[in-house]
Amino acid sequence: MKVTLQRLALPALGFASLLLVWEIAGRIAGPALFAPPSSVAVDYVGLLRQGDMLRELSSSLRQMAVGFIAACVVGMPLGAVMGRSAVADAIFRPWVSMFVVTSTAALIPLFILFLGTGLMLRVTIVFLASVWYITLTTYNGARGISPQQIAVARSFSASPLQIFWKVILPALYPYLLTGARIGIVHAIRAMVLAEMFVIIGYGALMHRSGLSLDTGQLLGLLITLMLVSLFFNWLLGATGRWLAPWYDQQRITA
Amino acid sequence: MISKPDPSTAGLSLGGDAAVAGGLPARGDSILSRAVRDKRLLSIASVLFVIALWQWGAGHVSGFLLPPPAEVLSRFLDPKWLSRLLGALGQSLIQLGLGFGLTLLIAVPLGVLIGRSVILTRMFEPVINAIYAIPPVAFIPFLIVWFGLFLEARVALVFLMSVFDVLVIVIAGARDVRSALVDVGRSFGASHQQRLRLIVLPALLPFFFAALRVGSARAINGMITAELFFAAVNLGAIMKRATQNFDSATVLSVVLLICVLGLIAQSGIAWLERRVLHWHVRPA
Amino acid sequence: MSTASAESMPAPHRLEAAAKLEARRITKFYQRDGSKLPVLEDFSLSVAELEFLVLLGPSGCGKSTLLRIIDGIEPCDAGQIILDGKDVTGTTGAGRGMVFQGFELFPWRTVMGNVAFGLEVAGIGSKERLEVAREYVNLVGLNGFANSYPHELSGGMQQRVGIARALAINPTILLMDEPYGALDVQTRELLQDELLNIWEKQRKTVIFVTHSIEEALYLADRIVVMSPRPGRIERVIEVPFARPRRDELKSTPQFLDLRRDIWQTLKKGAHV
Repeated sequence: MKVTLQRLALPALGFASLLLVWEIAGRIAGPALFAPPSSVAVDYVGLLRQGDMLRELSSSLRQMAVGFIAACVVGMPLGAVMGRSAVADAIFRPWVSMFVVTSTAALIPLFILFLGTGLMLRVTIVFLASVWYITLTTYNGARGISPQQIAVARSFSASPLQIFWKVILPALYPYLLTGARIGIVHAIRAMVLAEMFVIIGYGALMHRSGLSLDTGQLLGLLITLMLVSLFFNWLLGATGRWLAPWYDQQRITA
Repeated sequence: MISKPDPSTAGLSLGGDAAVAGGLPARGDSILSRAVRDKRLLSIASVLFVIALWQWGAGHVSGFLLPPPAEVLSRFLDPKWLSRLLGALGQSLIQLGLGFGLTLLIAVPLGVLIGRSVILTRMFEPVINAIYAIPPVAFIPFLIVWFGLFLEARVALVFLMSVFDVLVIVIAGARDVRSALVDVGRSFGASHQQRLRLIVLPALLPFFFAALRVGSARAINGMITAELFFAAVNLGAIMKRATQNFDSATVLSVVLLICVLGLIAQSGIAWLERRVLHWHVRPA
Repeated sequence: MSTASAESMPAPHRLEAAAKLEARRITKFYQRDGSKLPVLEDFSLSVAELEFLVLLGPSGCGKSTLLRIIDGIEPCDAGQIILDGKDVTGTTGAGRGMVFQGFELFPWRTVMGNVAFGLEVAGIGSKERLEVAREYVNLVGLNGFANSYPHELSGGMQQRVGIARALAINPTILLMDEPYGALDVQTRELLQDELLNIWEKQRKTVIFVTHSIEEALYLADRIVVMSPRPGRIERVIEVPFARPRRDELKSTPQFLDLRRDIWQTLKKGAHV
């Protein structure tokens, strides 16, 4: 118990100092520029009660989920195949390299022309923003699978399918989860980006708060995004530890 | 989020040969098998194939929706337009330079400072992770309120979008410097400053390059985002106007330009890294 | 600096000479989850001038910790380290040169750069540094590799660089922390002979830590056998073999008997 308190003390101190600086700066700057935490807290309760924030959030997240899941469905096998086959790597690498250096923001006007401003646009943007990172992470994992482990399986006369299920897939778990974590960060970013550009959904709420110089509300909306992001990160991490407790997830920043 | 990255895989590098689990067997000297053996040919073939597909697709669909590749190419070949495009790029690069330069100036020393101190790391790592979780684009309404709609706001967005990535990587790298190496320094009587200069900073270089790779990509992202969300200027203005005119060829050409810019940046950093880090053995 | 004669050289008589280094009542605890584990408790030791002393013991007996405390890179909870009459407890540098088990070379420096490191820290000018470094690079037999990087060298070669690096600062006492532990047997034996050669040419006081009985008997003037938790002196052995020592010594009956004898001592003291 004492150890847990000790471990929480320093981070708590860090947060507290941040809040203090914020409070002071906010008081000086005023609610039109930088609302202090005290008033943000009040506004936040108002936001929750009013219901717009949560409603838009859930609808946006649902649309984001479509794009994100599509990205996983495409990116994970793609990365695995690229990692295990030099041929596949040669075929797909130019596209992965090209897309991953292209800013999502630049793609939005282009895809508005192709797809309009409806659901397809947002799903596509989320997909394109996250799929390459998922692919790359899985690729790194697939490349790193120890050939010794596969040799062991072969020496036990395992069939290629068995090798896939029993050796390759479990070895990929941590990378699949890390890829999903990185992917979802980019998915959320892309969702907000698209929504702010087209002024729709959750992004529209933020845009409107900005226009009306209501930084209290705006900060509240930001905090919700932060909590959502942290939640998904935690969720995927916990899933990873549950699925593959033997493996400390190697984390790759991307 | 603040984790222990392997600097060679951080970011966007795809380099190196992929292991082959079960490669295609050589089937004599046909073009196909030769292409299979020379992987670069395969890559080129893949790109050409998609372009051909695109050409075919563009023939069957309205020009508004999908401009044919020839039309996009013609944009680049028109010298008047090309000079306009490159001029806009040059202007865009100014805010990129300012914003990313600011990031490096602040995030690298700060990251080393925090990373080397256990207390500071434990205090601020969760805070940094929390702020890192907020999509930087969400700060745009704030930046408009604080900085307006012009150069300052754009530089601020480039800064904001790249600073956290660089900070997180530098902190992880500074933390990661093997204590055994620092012990060697202490054993020979090196002062704190000497240890920092002679041991920590060189050991940090691989991470610095990883931060450079990731940060530069994010900064370019910020540059173009800024030009689309604040008062549209330079490349962003070209894109917006083209969008309004349903000129998808122009829009696509700008996208390609940004793609090329990104590739050049990554290659440039990779080249610099190979020269500076010739002593660095990547984990296999 | 005496030249090695064809005749054997007697082991130094400690009783008359003042101690070169003294560890007085060293105490060290490790904290783990609130409880304190004693690593060393009231441990005392003295080393004579130009003596080759070996600390021998199983893992966890505190021998490496003691060496690191002597070097000053690890603090002790109580006690003093006296070198040449001066209290150097807790300070680093100051007459001690250390060779590490994991080699710990700086990967971004060449062999020359690594060997010159201690001199650079001491503020010695670059021309003089390079001269001294080259001298020691040649001493350990790496003249052809002066500009190579650590990753281009084998383990044995890297450790030679480590030894050159420690010797280059002309330390009063050389501390070696299981320097050959990470190497294969053949390389080990080669390096042991090389070390004895270098030691003949550049006589220094040495404290050498190992868990290998054979290595201890081959190299030492005196062996301090330690047992763990907390680390304490189980037994002190005066090594009777004359110098210079040759590889064949390891298969003589006297050597093997002594080795068996020490093994019995270690078995008794160790808690498996």
